[in-house]
Amino acid sequence: MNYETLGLKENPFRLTPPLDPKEIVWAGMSEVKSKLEKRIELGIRTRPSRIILNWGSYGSGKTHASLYFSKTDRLQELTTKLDAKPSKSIKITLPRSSSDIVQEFLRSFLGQYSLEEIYSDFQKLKDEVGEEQLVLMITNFSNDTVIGEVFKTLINTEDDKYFNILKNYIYGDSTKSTLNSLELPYGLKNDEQVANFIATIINCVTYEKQHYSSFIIWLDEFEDIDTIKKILADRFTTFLRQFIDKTPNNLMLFLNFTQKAFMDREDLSISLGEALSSRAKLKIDFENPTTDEAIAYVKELSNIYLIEDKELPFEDDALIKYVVEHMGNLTTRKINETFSIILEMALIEEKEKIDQTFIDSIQDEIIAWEE
Amino acid sequence: MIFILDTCTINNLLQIDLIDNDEDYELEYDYLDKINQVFKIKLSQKNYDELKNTFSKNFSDGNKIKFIRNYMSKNIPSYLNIVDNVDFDSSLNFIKKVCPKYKDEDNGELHSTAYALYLNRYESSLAFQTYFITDDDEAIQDFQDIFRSNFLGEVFTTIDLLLILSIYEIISYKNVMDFAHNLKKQYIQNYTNVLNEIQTLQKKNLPTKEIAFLSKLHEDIHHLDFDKVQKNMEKSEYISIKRKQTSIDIFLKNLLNEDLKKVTILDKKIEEIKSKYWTTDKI
Repeated sequence: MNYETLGLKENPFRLTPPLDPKEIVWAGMSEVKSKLEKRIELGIRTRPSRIILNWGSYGSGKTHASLYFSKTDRLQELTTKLDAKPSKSIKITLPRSSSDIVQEFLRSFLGQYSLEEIYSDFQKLKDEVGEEQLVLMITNFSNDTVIGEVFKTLINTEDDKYFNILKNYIYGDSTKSTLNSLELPYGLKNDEQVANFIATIINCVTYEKQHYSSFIIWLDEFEDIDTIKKILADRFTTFLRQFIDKTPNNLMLFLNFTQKAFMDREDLSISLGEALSSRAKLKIDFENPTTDEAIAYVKELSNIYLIEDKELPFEDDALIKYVVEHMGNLTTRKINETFSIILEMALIEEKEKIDQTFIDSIQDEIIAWEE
Repeated sequence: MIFILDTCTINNLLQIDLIDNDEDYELEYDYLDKINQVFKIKLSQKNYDELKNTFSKNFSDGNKIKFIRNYMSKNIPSYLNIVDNVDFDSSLNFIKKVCPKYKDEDNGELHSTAYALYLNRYESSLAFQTYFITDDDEAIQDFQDIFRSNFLGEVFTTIDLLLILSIYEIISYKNVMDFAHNLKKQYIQNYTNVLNEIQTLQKKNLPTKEIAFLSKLHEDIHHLDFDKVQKNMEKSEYISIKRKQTSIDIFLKNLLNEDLKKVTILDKKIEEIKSKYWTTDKI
């Protein structure tokens, strides 16, 4: 659909992230953004690792926040402002379908922070601190001779073929030939080893904030911990606890949790287990926007996509308010869906300006409309 | 103490306790065994018959069903005792007279209450020593007075029974609260399934109106507004979505058949325990 007739480069109210994730934008929700950035800045400036609960209803923007800070330049802007080294941020969705939930988490981690990138960062670290210091860090942080050997092998690998053997090993190939090539006694199977493996990476790349000032993991759809088999849920929370214990510095773990009826914060505490829930004391509420906040959101988002010298397609603020006031409970998702439908209908009806008469004529098409 | 267990209590004690070790099932605590070691478990014939028909209701996994069936065959019959039918019928008829609602109804809860009365009047079980354990709130309301007026004992929920076990230090208080949490999860299984299905569908490439419709459906389910949900199921967007993903219709229909009041009651019980039940952990 061509939104130019409405003065827009494209539909501002996307229902899915853009193809180029750098184009993800933030509009409205200034209070939430400010709270998130304060936490991120604290993580950049100080050492202790933290777990933060992002708590909100379905469609309140938690996943969007994860993508915004992980994929765009905003995190870089924050570190530059603080005159700090860059931060690394990745989003992982809670594994749900695999019977080996910890291995699935590891693969997701490596999907977002590839072994090639890890290798490159370790090479830079080797240049920054020297090989001897790096080996000492690896020995200290790995807490496991086999994991230690894996990393020592990684930093000295220059051969593509050998790198691929190492990659296969990390991804779960522990055949005799792979183990023999690497001179390792066993594979990366055990949950604690995986915790040691990921902790070693993060501890090394954020050591004294010399390479990265902090490492941020957004664990999305965390409310699903309650829907997976108990034995897997217990296994995963135990793994998380071990991983966090082994990464005492420079890690920020955001748990995105969608509120559901019947399940409240107490229930989450039971799902997390005492050890983890006692560490997850910080909470950021992704509250539903007020009418005024919703209007500001619509205007801000539309202006980002406005073609130069054009006016917004909405007649005036009163029109936006008219729509928002008929949407019942507001969430950013619902606002996006509603205004997407309005823009689509305007294009179909070849309208260049959207007024109340038009809105009234398409009320039946607007799913969220309430009298 | 005698505990007469309702069908739902036995099902809950088994199903919540079931753990899956790679398709090999076992009971983590075996609550029935723990109760039976210290107290007496009894079961009415009616409940036993109900149990045979309902134990697999929440399962689709054949191995789970097989495990529970084997467990029950081995253990449940020992909770049955021979009763004098004439005397039992007298007890039953008395309850029916006192509770006219049950004049033409015949269920496990009624029989359990009659059994408690029978044990006291005909088999000299002591006063205040017979407890009927059920998670059926209606039954608790209907029969509580009979237990009290006839000095039989009390009508308790499964959680109450587990709290008694914790007083006797057979299990821990934490164990009880974990059980309550897992029971709640089981109660809301259909609700959770539908919401997950909606969230999965919204990631697919659907027309905007269908995505917006799914959000509306999600909101109505979240707010437990099932009248709105039913109205929405008649809309063209739902019919189109249903064609693309039939599972959503199955989950939604299951949810609409569910009585979610039991979840609210369970939540109230949990709150009551947290505020009024004392354990030495709370010092």
